[in-house]
Amino acid sequence: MKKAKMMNRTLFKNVICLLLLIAATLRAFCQNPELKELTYEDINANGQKVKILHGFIDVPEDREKPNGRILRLPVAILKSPLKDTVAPVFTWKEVPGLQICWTLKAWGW
Amino acid sequence: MLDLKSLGLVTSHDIVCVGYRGADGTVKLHSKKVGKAAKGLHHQLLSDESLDNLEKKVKRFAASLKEKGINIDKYTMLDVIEDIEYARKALGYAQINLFSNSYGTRVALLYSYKYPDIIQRSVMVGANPPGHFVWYPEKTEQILDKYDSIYKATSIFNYQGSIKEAMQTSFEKMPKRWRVFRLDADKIKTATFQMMFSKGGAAEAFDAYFRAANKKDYSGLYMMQVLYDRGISKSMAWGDYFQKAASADYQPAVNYREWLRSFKTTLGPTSSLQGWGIIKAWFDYSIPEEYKKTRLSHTETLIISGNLDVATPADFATEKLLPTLPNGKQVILKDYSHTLLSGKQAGAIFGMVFNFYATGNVDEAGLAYDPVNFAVKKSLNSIAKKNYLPLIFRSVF
Repeated sequence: MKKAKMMNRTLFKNVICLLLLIAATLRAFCQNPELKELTYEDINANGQKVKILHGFIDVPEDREKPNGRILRLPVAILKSPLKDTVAPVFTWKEVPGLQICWTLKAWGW
Repeated sequence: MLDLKSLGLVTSHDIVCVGYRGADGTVKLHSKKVGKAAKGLHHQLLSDESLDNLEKKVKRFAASLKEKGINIDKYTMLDVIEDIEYARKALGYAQINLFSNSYGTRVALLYSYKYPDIIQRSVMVGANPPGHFVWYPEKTEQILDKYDSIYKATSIFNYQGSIKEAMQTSFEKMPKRWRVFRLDADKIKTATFQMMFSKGGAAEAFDAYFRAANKKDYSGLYMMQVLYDRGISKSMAWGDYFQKAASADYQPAVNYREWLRSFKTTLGPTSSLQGWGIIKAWFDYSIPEEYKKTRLSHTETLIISGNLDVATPADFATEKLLPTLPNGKQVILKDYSHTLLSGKQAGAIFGMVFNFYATGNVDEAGLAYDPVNFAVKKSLNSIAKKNYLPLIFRSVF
């Protein structure tokens, strides 16, 4: 009787652990991608105000292990001041390991 | 600062820059020890002793990353693409245009392989086809020949002779020291290759060679060593550099040191030997084979190249990339080097780029010829001499 009770308790614990694990994994998978800690600044480009948004994305180091190490990466968006926007332009660094995005520097950013 | 409005940036496009895992994020793959070892030993940057020392430091660095639990296999270009995809979704964009430069063009190419429907149009400046993270010494030699012929044709009154001959004479007659400083021919050659990324930098280097060969003034060549040391230690996240290059282009069967040293050219294998001659010390991890070769991509692509580009030569893109891009076009800018975007024509180039995004057409009408200016405003020699005392101070501390 005591043994059966112990077994039930262990089984219950295991089930709870499994459920928690599934819930965490589902949460990680189902979370919508989002930009965090969004701030903005205005820059003056030839007399025209242009807004730059700065934020972060949190991405898993290993996408097969969504609960593992999370990497926080900066994202910057130069917002078009026009109302009817078209497909944006995405860019990134020229050289792996380089710490400055020279393209953006060339763009006067 | 460039005029954003005239560049067409204040248009209907948002412009998004996504940080790089390994360089910008919470995990930075830096190593001061590797940076220090990359300065070489005993004034012979590319000797086996220097390369072995660098290899040892890289190996230790790789082991330390493993100890910290960093999964280096997840710092490849394909992972970077997934990060950009994440940012795209977070911002709610259905389709995007890509703007890439140099190494980044490979990221763009793989992006188009992986997510062809997401990309509307792609612009690659200085395109790097698969297999070309290695810089080929004979290609640098060909571009030196081009510089030589341009110099001969344009310098009627102040022609000082062949650039290549000045280089050869400088190395043949190189003293051990300039004043108190030891000279390192390997480092000077490597710095020359790196300075040739821009035509302004190339002109400064060539000027230093003429002064060394004709006037026995080696101060400018020493200054190039200083520039190399400063650049190499400050700007690189070594782990990121090794991982992205090695996981895409490394061929385990190739003995890179032997192969690269077999090229008998004026400058030799320089940066390629330094990077690929030690890369076997890094992790043996490869991205899937399907992303290591060119294949058909229907993405509308504009490739912009310079015919004096030593880093991403125009003809590699013409011969190896363009045939796989049925909707691809290439513009080769005459007398332009790798740093196309920092020259006088940057505004016109961006104008062409944004016109391509809008219409899919390539309009070169706004581009004007910008010749190579071999006249140097301030020689490296004068900079070295003017800063002699600070240079001594710097070398002591």
